[in-house]
Amino acid sequence: MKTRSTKVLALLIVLVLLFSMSACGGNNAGDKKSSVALRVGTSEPAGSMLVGAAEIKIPIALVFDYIFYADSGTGKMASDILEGWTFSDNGKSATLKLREDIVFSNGEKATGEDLLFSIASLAPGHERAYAGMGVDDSWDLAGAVLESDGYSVTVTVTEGYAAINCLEAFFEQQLLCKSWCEKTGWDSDLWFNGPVGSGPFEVAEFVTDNYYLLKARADWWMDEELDIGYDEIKITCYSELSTMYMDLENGDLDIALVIAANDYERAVSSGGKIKTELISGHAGQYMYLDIDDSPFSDINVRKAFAHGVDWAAVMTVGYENLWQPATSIVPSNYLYYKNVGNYEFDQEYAKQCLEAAGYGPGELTLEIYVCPGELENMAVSVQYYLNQIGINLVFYSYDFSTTQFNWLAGDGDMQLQSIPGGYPHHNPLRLCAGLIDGAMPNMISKTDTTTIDLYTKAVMATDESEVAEYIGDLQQHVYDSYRLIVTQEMVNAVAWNSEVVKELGIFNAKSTDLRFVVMA
Amino acid sequence: MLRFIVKRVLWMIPVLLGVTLLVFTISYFMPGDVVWNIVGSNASQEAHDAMVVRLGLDQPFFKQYWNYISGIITRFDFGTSYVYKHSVGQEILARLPYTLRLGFLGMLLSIIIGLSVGIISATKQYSFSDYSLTVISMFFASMPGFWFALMLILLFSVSLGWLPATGVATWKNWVLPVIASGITSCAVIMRMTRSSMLEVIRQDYIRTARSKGLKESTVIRKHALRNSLIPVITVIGMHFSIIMGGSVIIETIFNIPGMGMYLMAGINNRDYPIILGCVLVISFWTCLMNLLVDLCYAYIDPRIKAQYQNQGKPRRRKHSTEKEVA
Repeated sequence: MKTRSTKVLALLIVLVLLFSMSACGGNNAGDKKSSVALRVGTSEPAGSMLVGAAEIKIPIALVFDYIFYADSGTGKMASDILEGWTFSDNGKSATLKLREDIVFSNGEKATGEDLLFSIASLAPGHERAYAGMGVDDSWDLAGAVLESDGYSVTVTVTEGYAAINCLEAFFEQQLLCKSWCEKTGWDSDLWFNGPVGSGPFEVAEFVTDNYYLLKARADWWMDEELDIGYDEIKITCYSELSTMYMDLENGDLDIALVIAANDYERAVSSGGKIKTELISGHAGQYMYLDIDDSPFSDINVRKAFAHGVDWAAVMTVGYENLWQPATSIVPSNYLYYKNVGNYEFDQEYAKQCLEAAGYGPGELTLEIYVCPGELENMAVSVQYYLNQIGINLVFYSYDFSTTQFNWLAGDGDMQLQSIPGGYPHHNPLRLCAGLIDGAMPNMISKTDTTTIDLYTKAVMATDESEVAEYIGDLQQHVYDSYRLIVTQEMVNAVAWNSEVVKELGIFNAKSTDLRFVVMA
Repeated sequence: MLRFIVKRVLWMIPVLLGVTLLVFTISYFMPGDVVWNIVGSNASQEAHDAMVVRLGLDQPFFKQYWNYISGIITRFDFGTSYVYKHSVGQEILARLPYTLRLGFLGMLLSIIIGLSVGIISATKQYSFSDYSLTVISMFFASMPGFWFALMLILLFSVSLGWLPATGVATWKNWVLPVIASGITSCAVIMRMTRSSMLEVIRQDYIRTARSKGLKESTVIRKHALRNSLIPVITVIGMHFSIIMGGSVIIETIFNIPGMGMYLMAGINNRDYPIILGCVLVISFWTCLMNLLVDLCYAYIDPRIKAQYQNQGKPRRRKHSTEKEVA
């Protein structure tokens, strides 16, 4: 009797466990095709929708409106929320006028107070700045003022800059609802699963690092101006690119925003309903040299390094066919781009330069810290070529945090990073600012007066032709002085199901605004 | 028996404390700076320093550890993620069901198939079925799990279109992950069952049972199997813990929002609250599995049960009385 009752009890426990496991968890909302109009896959992690704290921009562009964004046709700065913007006679101030018909998803009407709050919160030292994304010091953001009409905000540049060139600072910065932000704070997880924005969608569901489900707002203020072809969008985040592509092949995804090189080849060769496109990353990848310290402080060593490595072969090792040669520090589809060429692979010349620097074969050893993956593979290739000209390369493979730490601490002679230098801006002024003034040391060297002089003249110029001239000269100078090696212009392969999506309407791989997707 | 269970539960506390201290120490002294990960490489030094203070990372090592441990003990607060800004405890609670479901179903599959195949292999030793099952089990035991998972997706999802590749919505979404998760354990359980059964089948009491005229199935089920289960249960307990900790690969490939992926995200971002919280949960789970395995021993083998019951009781020495001596 006792044995039987024990067995019955054990069986009951097992049944309860199985039942509870089958009942718990599970996502019933989004995988069925009929309830989700557009299904998008991305490799970026699902996280916060506060610009600066976020790694993923796709849902931000749908839940919020940007103060400025890049027009997908011209690449120039455009705005949906501003009626217009003007500059003062002396070129030092910009006045941005907000439209009067903007409504947030909580029903509140947007006013100049919200625009002022959105701008002022970007000031260094503001509480929001803990997220790390402040605007550079080209603007006196804390001193921004609301004009008497209640919808215009005037911002003044700090001394020495022209407002027209600094407007770039508000590129892809979101319009925030002041009252909601003040009530919620910057730390709340509502930034992940329920932010209030003025965009066409709002968050219906969110699972950390997994997916967002966004539903169209019934009261979107721009509804009559822009017809978005879907009512729901599910953005799923994949850690594994192959899995994302397989979901696309199965019909469980409509758009895969990034696919691996071999999947791209397969898609191109197989034809069928899966279409692919190489879209510009609108960014460059750079080999940063520690040019303030030996040995790279000697231009001959930099020349040897630049000409002694077949950079095209190295990029192919890392990225296969998903890369484009770079011919300037500014990507070719940017404003003010100048083709300065790239360093010819000439190992004999490289050996001569090394000799001129006073190093015999095997006498120079360089160190580099890289991240695992394609960067490590590329480091092996660079090591191979450097060995051929008599330079030893020692490389250490660590995670991103450790490589950053070591580089900032002054370890390593150079660093190859997949962080794009120009994202996401179309205007090279921001790119150059990042290369010169970023926390990472020695990008173009902060002590190089020529670079800084040319940059300063460019940002102070009020005439576009002058800006083009100075930026062109800056590109030439960096090339001639071997201050930076641009390894590639980044491209991304995108794939979509042509039976569901007719056109992507994506500007570039990073500034993906899916409002302009045309459904089949 | 109850005393045994209480003692084991109490022993879990220092074990878990030791694990958290070890992981916390390693995280603390690891090279790298998590704050640059959070604020971004282009942030200013001031922003970096402000974040360090905000996160309490400027405090001494023991203060940081004490704050963490006291938060767990007093408020069940596992801290706030540096990157995601959410409560780690709540996020683990939301994700744990996925990982538990994957683990339990994977182990259930392993046990059912592993035990059955192991018994068949043992009772039909040196037969064709024994050899073929042995080869198959060795193949699955040595195959990398991530490769097998991708092959399953390629075959059943892409080529045949029978099952979805990712997601967790319906029962169909769980078939491939459960198979991928359980197949390695299944092979190991099969091997262990086979070798354990072979030892037991040769015992005299099995011969006695057969000579009494019992059916072969009764001999195997009631006599042989029960006596061969001890080492098998040990392996099952071990693999249960391995599945919990190793689910990261399966969850990544099948895009299941479980604890494994969460831990992976924490490691990639150097998000120490996430790493500590997940490691603590996995450690707790391992201790619990060890306890359950020991209880299963007691259930199967009455001798072990008696041993547990007698644990801690003073041994009485039998003294002879004057009367007896006289």
